[in-house]
Amino acid sequence: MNPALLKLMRLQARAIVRRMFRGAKTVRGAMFLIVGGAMMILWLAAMSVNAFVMPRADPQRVELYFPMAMLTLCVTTLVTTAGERAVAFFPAEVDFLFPGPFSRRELLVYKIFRSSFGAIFTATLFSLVFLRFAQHWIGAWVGIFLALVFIQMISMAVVLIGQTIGERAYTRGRKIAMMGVVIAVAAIWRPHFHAVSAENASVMVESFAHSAPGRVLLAPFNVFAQILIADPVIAMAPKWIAIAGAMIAAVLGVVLWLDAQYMESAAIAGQKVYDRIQRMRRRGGISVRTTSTRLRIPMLPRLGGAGAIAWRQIIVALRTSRSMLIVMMIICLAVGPLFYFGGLNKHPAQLVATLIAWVTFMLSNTLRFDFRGDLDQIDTLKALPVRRSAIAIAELVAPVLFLMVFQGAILAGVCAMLRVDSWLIALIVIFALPINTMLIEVENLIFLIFPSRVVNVSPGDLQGFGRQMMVFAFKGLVLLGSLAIAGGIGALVWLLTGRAMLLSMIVAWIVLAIECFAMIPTLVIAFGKFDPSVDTPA
Amino acid sequence: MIQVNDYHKSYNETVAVAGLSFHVQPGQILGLLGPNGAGKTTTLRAIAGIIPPTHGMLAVAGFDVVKQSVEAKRRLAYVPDDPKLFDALTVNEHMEFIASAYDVNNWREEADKLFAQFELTEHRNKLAQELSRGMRQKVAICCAYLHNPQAILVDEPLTGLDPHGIRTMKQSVRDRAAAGSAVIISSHLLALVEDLCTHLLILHRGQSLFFGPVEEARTAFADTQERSLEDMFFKATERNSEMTKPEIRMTNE
Repeated sequence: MNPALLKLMRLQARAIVRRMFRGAKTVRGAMFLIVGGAMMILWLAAMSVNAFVMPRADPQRVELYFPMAMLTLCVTTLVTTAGERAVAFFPAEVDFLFPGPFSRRELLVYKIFRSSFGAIFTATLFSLVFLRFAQHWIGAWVGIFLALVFIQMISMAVVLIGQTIGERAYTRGRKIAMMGVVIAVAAIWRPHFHAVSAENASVMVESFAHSAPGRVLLAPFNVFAQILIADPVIAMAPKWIAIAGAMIAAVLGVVLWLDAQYMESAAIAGQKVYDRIQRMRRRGGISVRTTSTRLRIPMLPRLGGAGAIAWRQIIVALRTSRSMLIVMMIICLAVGPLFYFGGLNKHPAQLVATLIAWVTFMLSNTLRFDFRGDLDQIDTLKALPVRRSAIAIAELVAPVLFLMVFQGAILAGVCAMLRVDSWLIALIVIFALPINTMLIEVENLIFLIFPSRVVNVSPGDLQGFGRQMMVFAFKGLVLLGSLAIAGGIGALVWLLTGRAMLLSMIVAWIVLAIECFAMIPTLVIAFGKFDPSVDTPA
Repeated sequence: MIQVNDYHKSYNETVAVAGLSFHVQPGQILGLLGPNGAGKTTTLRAIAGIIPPTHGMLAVAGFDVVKQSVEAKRRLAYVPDDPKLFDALTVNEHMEFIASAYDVNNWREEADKLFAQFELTEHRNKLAQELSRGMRQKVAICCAYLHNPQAILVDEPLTGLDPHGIRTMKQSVRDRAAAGSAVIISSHLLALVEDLCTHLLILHRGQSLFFGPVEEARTAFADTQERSLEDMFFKATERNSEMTKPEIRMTNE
């Protein structure tokens, strides 16, 4: 490998460590780092202990399912745009490395080394998470690491073949190959289609694995499964490791031999990935490219300026994240039927309450169409001739609205398939607004006090992980506290009024609403104190 | 030093550049002019070896950028419009990497000079992500100059620079050209091109409208020698828009 590219990798590795400990000099940063580190260690320790306490998975089942999982992952990578990323270079790499004195092969080797470096971390994490499925940790680590590298190399080879034979032929060829795989799988599984259930799903997997095309397709991936289940590892694994190494070397040979003109498409793919990251940094984990301006909603009443701000957030959410919002909506609607057909229909009340609580808690962190998504627009917001309280209230509207829509979808999906008590439905409908508002207020308050761009916590980002954990804990505490006060007062009314349920509910709702209103001044103060010149994170 | 012969670049049915030919000798500063979408950045990126030409030959210091890309790139520096830096690396680490990539000995001394020249000395240990737009531009320029390139390609070099930075940048281009480098500057700032460039290449819809010394452009497009570059530019491009005929092309092919 070119020594300069090796140096760049070394500098970047040093930068990862620096980034991990960046900000740890401040009390806040150190706190996040400690919490994140502790949580990560606890989680991994729990996984490892679990692997020793629980019985090991049957090696025969690992041998059956692991190659199948890998084949699925490989095919998914190849037929989606994820495959294009196999040879994607970030804009900084395009600007510095492409005009630099490096050959295309040297840059490919650099790319492979970088990916392998990432695979080391992933393999370490996965080897602990999936330790129960391997006979020894070292076998798990080596097997997973080599499997990840192999998939990366295969993706790279396919992309480069595509570059060699031309984009159109490649796209057509990829579609034909995909159709071929689908037809082959359908033909093999056809006898089992009449009654799909968990039991004969495993029969289907087995029949595919034992069929002639299945054996051919799964043979390369079976090598990695053998490393996982090798016992004793010292005696059994080396042979399979050698075979895996030879397979990777062969694909690497093909990659380097092709020496395709990949740079232009790699630059474009890299730019797409970079743009996506930038959008996610700004808007959150569900943001996608703005696709159409056709989607319009009428301007809301001004309401002291709040209407315009809320309107902007809703329209931005619909335009930048429409497809993701639709997918989430379908998932919410499908939850009921899925649970019904899955046989989980015995405790519908418990099911619907747990589902909605979980989805609400998770989505309140994801739907960032508020101050969190406006991090780069705080200057503009502050310059508007609108009262801070109006801005603060307006910023809450979009995420609260979307949360309610998703909760409604889950409720509709569940009610269509399962019998849910009407009192529970009424309870959810009535209390959704104050609870959602409370959650979004807490999210925004934490954000304005501890602003951060962290959206998807990357591996090794302990500070980001710690921050997420603390946000979840704080959110849970505030919500529990608020609900306890409202519930307590409601219960008191229930007792004093001779068990008047409706009245006690109304009182509890009013108390929750008051708590929500009481939080707005805190939000207003936090927004006022936010100084974009020092508080905006890089 | 920079040679482009019959360069074509197309994307499926879209023709970005069609049959472009020009050359830049050591000491010359070529101004690449043209409206948006004329093919300026595509041309620079092709000379830099980032995108392959669909057809034609591009060479730097006699080395074909496709067939002998490493040798060509060793003699070349490219500063893109809105340069992207490695966010997690410091300014100094960028220079360290460039020194290693281009095999520059005693780079620290040269880097110190460049940092001083572009007022980056106090920012040398900052991460790239902490820098302003102008600072990032300066870092990219310093990286480009570190290995004393024989050919320099700069796309919109003044974007984001402060007045001091603009003056330094202009002077540095003059100095590099005087020292024997061939420079291509792509810019919409006609005053900059008029101020710095010895030669002009006017592109429109991927075709060359004019290539030659600035004085020749005055003869070709201006009624009198007093006409400004702005007048010449509009006369060239507007005439071409009205009469998109091959006779308008005035390359010296």
